Amino acid sequence: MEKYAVKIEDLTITYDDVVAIENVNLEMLDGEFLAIMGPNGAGKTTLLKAILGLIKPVRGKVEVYGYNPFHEGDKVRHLIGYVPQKVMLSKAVRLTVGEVVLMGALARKYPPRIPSEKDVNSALEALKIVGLEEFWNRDFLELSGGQQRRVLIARALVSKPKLLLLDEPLTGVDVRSQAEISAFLNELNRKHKVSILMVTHDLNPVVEYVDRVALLFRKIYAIGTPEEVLKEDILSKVYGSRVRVFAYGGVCFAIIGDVHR
Amino acid sequence: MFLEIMGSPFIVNALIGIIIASFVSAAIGHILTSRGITFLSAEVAHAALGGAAFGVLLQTLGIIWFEPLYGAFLFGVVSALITAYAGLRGSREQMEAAIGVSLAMSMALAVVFLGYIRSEDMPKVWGYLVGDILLLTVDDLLFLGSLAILVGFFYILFRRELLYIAFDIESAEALGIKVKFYHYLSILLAAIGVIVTTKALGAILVYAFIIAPAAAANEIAKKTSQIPLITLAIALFSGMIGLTLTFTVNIPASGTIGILASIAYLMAITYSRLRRK
Repeated sequence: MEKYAVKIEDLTITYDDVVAIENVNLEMLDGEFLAIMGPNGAGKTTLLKAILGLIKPVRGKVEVYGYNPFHEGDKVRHLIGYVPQKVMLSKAVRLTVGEVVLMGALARKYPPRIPSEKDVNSALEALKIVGLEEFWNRDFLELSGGQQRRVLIARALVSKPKLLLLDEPLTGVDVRSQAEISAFLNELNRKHKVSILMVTHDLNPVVEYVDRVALLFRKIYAIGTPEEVLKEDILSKVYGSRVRVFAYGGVCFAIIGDVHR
Repeated sequence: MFLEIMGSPFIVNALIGIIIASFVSAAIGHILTSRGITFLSAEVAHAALGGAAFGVLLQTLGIIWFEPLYGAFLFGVVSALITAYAGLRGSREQMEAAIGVSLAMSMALAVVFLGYIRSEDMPKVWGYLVGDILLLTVDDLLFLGSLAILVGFFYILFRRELLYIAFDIESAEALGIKVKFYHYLSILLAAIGVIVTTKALGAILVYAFIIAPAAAANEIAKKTSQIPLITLAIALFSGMIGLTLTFTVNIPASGTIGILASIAYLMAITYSRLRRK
């Protein structure tokens, strides 16, 4: 069995000669809950896209369970579930919750991609995992931000992935939903043994659940447990001087760009 | 007397034209409203107008085989593909800018071509502006019907892909859907559909006939699968009633059809707002 869910060596990616990330090295163990933390423009989404095989690196290599996502996309796609940023979704398309979740199953079939009973059952099962099985016929756009995130996670879970990639899943969600989604992701990781790689600019909601944190700003500045990374001298290298770290109940929390006196 | 009129060949052709345009509206109206680029229909319709003017000009110059409809098809498709290229990265803003520029260029070309066309040939071009549903020939219907079948076939086959790239292009790509191919396909199908409808209803009213029924359906449908069916019903209703009114009240067919489709949209948004209260 492959030891690493994701293995990245010396990865450099550019957009029209502008460096997005450079010399990134990262090893994520199978079964790990890893958070990639960094400010806007740090290259977090670029890193996810490289793992998904959507961007060709200028230099270096990426492996997902031993497969190269750019050259062996079909094999990698069966192993990965992806949850995009909510801002990327169109409000012009009216889909029910069931239709959104089924997308995760039907996208892997051939046109005209007619759902089988098995597809519907898989979608219902995924909705049950996120606690929204009663929402099958509801209009996706009429759900709250937190519920929409859960539906998108359900879509990613339909194919029973070994690795779940989440791009800012807690942004634009109220505090209560942030806590619920974070606890749910923890359960998914511990109970269902799904490896989780989550990109975030705010680690606090998941800090007590993640195994390790990587601090990214074009390159990896630090990687380790939250206690090892959440230090003012380390964070200030990326975020500047407006960083404070507090410990509460044995857990570290970072306040970034919002200093309270 | 009424039945005699309704049984005449040009009315039968007009009815078939309405049915063809309604099916096209059901397919591409859904695509365009989903992708949020409804003005592509206006762009392609006006490009078709420029193309028709080009076709008439070529005929004036002795190239008789080049029908204005071919020019409309050529200009409409090229104009849409330029827009598709501009929006290759999925940016609606980039496509909107390209739609505006293509629309302006098409109109400018139409004006230039019109300057060289004989006055007796002008009606052939104006037909594309205001529609000539009552002048559709059997050859026109065969051509338009073939295109409509093509659009319908690809829409049914790839409906989910077209919806997925409209809803969440990033995830669609991550899931292995060839987003670039379906992006071009959706724009191309929309362009062909618009050209069909432009020939029947005219460039000015194509927006009303394609977008208004789909937008109305979007408001009242409870499921995505209902949207094309409701769009078809509204388009058919507007078309048939519009055509009937033309002979009973003696008002232009295209205008009546456009007004009815727009009223359907206003009723749908009112119903939708009331339902949510």
